Amino acid sequence: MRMRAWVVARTQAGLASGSKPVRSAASRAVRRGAVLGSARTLTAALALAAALALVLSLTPGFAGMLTPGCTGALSAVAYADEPAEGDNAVNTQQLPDSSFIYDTSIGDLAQADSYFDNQTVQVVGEAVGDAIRSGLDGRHRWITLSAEGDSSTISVHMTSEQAAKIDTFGKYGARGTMLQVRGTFYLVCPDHDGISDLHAEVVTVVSRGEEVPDEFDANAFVPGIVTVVAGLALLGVFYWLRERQR
Amino acid sequence: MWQRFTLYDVRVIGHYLGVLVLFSSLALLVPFITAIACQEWRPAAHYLLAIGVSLTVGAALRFLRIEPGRLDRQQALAVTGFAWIVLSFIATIPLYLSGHYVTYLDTLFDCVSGMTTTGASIIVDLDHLSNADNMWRFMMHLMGGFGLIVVALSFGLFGKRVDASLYMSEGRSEHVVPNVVQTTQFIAKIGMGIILVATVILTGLCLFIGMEPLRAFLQALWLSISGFITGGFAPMSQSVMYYHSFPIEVVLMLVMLVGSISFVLHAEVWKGRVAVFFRDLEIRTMVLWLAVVTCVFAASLSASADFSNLPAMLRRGLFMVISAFSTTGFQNITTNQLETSLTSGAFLVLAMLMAVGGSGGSTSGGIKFSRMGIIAKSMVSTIKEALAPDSARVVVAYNHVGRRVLTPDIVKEAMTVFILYVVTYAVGALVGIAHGFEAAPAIFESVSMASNGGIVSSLAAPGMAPTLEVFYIVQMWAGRLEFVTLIALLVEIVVSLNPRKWVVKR
Repeated sequence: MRMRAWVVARTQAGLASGSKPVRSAASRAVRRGAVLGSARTLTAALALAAALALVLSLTPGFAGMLTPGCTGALSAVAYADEPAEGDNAVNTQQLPDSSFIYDTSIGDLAQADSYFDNQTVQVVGEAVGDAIRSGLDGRHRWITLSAEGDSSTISVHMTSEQAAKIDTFGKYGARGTMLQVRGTFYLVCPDHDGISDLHAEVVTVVSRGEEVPDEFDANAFVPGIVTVVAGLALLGVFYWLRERQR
Repeated sequence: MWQRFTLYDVRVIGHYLGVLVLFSSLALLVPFITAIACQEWRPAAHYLLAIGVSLTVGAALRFLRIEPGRLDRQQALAVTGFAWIVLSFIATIPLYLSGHYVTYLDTLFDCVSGMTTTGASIIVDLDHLSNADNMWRFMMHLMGGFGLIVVALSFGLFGKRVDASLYMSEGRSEHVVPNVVQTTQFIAKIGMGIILVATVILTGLCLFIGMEPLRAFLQALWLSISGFITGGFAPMSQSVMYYHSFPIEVVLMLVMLVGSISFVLHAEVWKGRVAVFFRDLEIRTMVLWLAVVTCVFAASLSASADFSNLPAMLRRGLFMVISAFSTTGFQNITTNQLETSLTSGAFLVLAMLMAVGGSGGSTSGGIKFSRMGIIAKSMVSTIKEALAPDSARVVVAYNHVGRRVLTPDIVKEAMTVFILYVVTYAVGALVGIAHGFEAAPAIFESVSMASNGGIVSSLAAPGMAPTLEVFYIVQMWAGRLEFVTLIALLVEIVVSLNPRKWVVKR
C-alpha cells in the first residue's frame, strides 16, 4: 500500500519535473515554427509527445521506464534542497532505479520482515535517551528514535555531525528533537554484529526538542499527606494497644 | 484429612501480611527520595500516596491480631503465597498513576512480573518514564529476587527465632548457616556486594559510551540489580541493545551467570572451598546442559541466512543463551528479530533454556538444574537396579555441598515439581493458542511466564486480552513459588470454605 502511494507520488514528481522542459521546448518550437512556417506541425507533435508521456507515466508498468532521466533530475533537485549534506548535491550512493524510498513508520520497521531489509527508508521520530558512542574513533553515534503514539523504537547509526543536530534528548521532563531520517534499513546488520538498525544518510530536524520540567504543586501532595498521617495514627494506636495487652 | 484454616489462622495470616505491607512502605521511600532528588514532583506525590496507603492498609491488617505468636507451617505457607499478590497490588499504585499503562491490569502484570523477577514488561513509552518510577521497578526486582520472605527475615520482621517453614515456603530449602535469619542476611550481603561491584564497573562503561553521569550511574545500578537478580527489566525500551556496547554485554553476562548460581555455592567459594563448587551436581548439570544446548543453538543459527556469521552468532547468540538459561530476560536483539530472523529451532531452544532455568537456591526461575540432575541420577539408579542382581542394594550418590545419597523422597519432590512445570507450560501454550496466536510464540510465551524467564515474543503486549493476561499473572506467581506453596494454599482455602456443605444446604 505504501509502495503504491510512493509510486504515485514519485510519478507525480516525475511529471512535475519532466513536464517543465516539455513545456518550454513547446513554446520555443512555436516561436521557431512561426519563423519556419511549420509551427502547427511541431506543436502538434510535441503536444502528442507530452500527452503520450503523461499517459505512459500514469500507466504502472511504464512508469519506471520513463523515470531514469527524470529520477536523476529529481534526485539532484531533492538532495540540493537538503541542508548541510556536504558540497556535493548528488548522492553518489543512490543507485539508478534499484533502490526505493519507503516513507514508512518506526512501528512498521520494528515489525519488519525481509521485505524492508536493505531498503532505503525514511522515518520520523523523537530522539530519546543518549547519543551513544559507536566505535572508538568518535565519528559515529547511535541514536534511538521513538515513534509518537506507540512504544516502537529503532536504532539509527549516524555521523557525529548529524547527531549534533539534536538539541534535546527525550526523557522524563523533556521532549526530544523530532528527526526525519532517510537511510538504509538492515533487519540484521552485517556491519554491526546482527543488530536491526537504520544507517542514516540524510538527517533533518523536523522540530526542536524542549524541556518540560515538573512544576511543584503542593495540592498534589495533600492526598499523600492525609493517608500517611492516617497510617501513622493507626500504627500508633496498634502499638499502644499491644503495650496495654502486655 | 485436609487441614483447614480457622479464624485464628486467618487473623494471624492477616497480621503478618500487614507486617510485610508496612515493610513495603519502607521500600517505597527509595523511589520517593529519588523523585525529590531529581525534582520529579508528580511522581513524588504518587509515591507519598502509595506510602500512605501501604501504611494504612498494613496497620489495619495488623489489628486483626494484636499478639499473633509464632507462625506455624500452615500459616507461613499462606503468608508467603498471599504476600506476592498483596504487595504487587500495593506496588501498582504509583506505576498506574504514572500514566504509562493502557489498563490497570497491565500495571498489575508488570508489578507481578517485577516482583516474581520475570522481567516481561508491557509498559508504554518506557523511555520517558521518570527516574523514580524506574527505581521502583528495580526495587520490586530486588525484593522479589532475594525473596520477599528472605528480605523480611533478614530485616528481622518476623522476629529473631523463626521456624524454617517460612523460609522454605518461598521455594528455598538450603541453609548457608543453620540459622534462617543469618542465612537470609548472608544472601542479602553477598547479593548487595556483587550488585555494588557491577554498578561501579557499569557506571564507568556507561560514561565511556557518552551517557550523562547521573543517567550512567542510575542505569548501571538498575542493570546490575536486574542482571544479578535475573529479573530482566531494563530502563530503556530496547533493553541491553540500547547501549550498543560489547563490554557492557560481557559484564552483564558475568553478572547473570553469578546470579544463576546457588547462594550456598557462593558461600562455599567464599569460604575457599572451590573444589566443592566444581564437584557440585548443579554445576556439572549446568555445564553439560549449556554445552549441549549451545551447540544445538549454534547449529540452528548456522542454518539461518541472517545470524550465520561468527561475530553476530557470538555476540547476539551467546548473550541470548545466557539471558535465557539464567531466566533474566535481557535482550540484545529485537523482539521482531526473535520471531523473524532466528530459525524456529533457535527460537525453541531459547524456550527450552528458560524452561530448565538456573540453579536451585539462586535467583533464577524454571525447573532448576538441581532437579534435572536428580532426575538424571534417578534414571541412572533405575538402570543400575535393572542390571544388578536381586540381592544387590543399589546406592546412587551425588554431590551437593557434601556427598548425599539419592532417596525416593528427593526424587519424588523433583519429579513432582518437574511435572507441574511441564503441565503449566503446556496449559499456558494452549491458552495462548486459544487466543488465536501461532503455536510457537504461544509455547515460548507460556514458558517465559511460568519459568519467570521474561524474554517475550509478541503475545504479551499493552492492552492484551484480559483472560490471557490474568493467566500469565497466575503463571508468573505459581512459577516463582514453584507451585507447591500455591497449590497447597489454594487447596487449603477450598477445603476451609467447605464447598460440600454449601452444595448439601442447597
